[in-house]
Amino acid sequence: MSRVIVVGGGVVGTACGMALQEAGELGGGAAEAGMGHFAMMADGTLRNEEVWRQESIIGRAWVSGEGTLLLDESDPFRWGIGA
Amino acid sequence: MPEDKMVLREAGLLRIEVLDTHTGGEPTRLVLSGFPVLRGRTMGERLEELREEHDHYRRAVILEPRGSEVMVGALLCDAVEEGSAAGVIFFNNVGYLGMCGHGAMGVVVGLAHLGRVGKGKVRLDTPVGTVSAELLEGGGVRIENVPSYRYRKDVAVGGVRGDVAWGGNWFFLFDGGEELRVADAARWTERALEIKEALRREGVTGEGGAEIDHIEIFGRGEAGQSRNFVLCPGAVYDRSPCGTGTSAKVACLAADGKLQPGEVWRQESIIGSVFEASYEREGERVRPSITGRAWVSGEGTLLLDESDPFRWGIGA
Repeated sequence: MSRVIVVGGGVVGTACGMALQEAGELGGGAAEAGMGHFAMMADGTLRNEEVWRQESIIGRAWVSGEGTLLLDESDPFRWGIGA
Repeated sequence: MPEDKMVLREAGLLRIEVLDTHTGGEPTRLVLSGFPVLRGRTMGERLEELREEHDHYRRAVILEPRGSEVMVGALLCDAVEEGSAAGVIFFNNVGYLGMCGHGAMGVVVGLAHLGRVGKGKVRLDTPVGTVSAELLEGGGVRIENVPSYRYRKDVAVGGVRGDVAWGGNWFFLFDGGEELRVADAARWTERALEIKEALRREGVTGEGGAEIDHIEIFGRGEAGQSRNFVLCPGAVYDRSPCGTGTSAKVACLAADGKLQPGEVWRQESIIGSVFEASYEREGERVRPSITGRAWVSGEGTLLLDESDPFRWGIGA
């Protein structure tokens, strides 16, 4: 038995967990509550206390607008609806 | 990423200039420039041209990631009738609207912000005719709506009883039986969808078999005044008291003898914004005037990069 700690929040941590599971490396484990960090047990390729490092998922972003929000003091919703 | 790719490329970047407004919480996005020039001589011809040849511009402005399903768009054009301030084509996330009450109020306030109209009468040319509006002292906007009427009274559908009325759209109006709070919007949306489905299943329609695509639930607000929850086509609820929905309500009140010509009816929306309505008789129908307030909420430029796969909207 080796202990594998996957460090990384949300989508990255989940992707690591998925990858290990698909590779049959995930023998048993538990997903901790919170930011999606995984602490899991696995046999095989990863050694004791080794840290799994995952490169970030490459994405693209685009600027989609530039502007000025106007808050008129007479506007009852200038601080948002339900605020 | 190579450095040259990080520089904003002006070539291949389309700019659409907009002015955002909201009417009692319901947004209207005025398009000031950046759309193709429409050559039609009537607003109807221009609408056809926009729909047939340039519909992706509507989607870019209204759909995510630049817009939202709550928003109504209003393309400003030159007026076609003498004495009109502007021509306007209304659209939303699913298509085009002939006329839109809250949208017309937003357009008038937007035109005033741009210095293109002052206090007093403002006429707007739309694909369904010229709309008379008035920018009032104090910032309100009064819109004269189309003749409205109640078509059927006290119809039992889906476990409730309500009226079918026309106010520029077809409505089924019924009493929700409790206080209406915005925190319960999801539950009221579900309820309205159930009733809409029941109307379809039981074959209850507007005149001539027209689909009833707006559901209007009534209740009391926190201060005891009449409050509504209006579900529009596309399953989005109106943040404003809904111009056509308030007209339909006024038609029902008039038919029941509960509101006299010239008397003011205050209608509150689910978020607490208010329209004031009154009517004059016009034959068998009533001609409602609706007064609300709109505010400019932003001015800006939408940027459409030709490399952006979502430049014409998500799901487009």
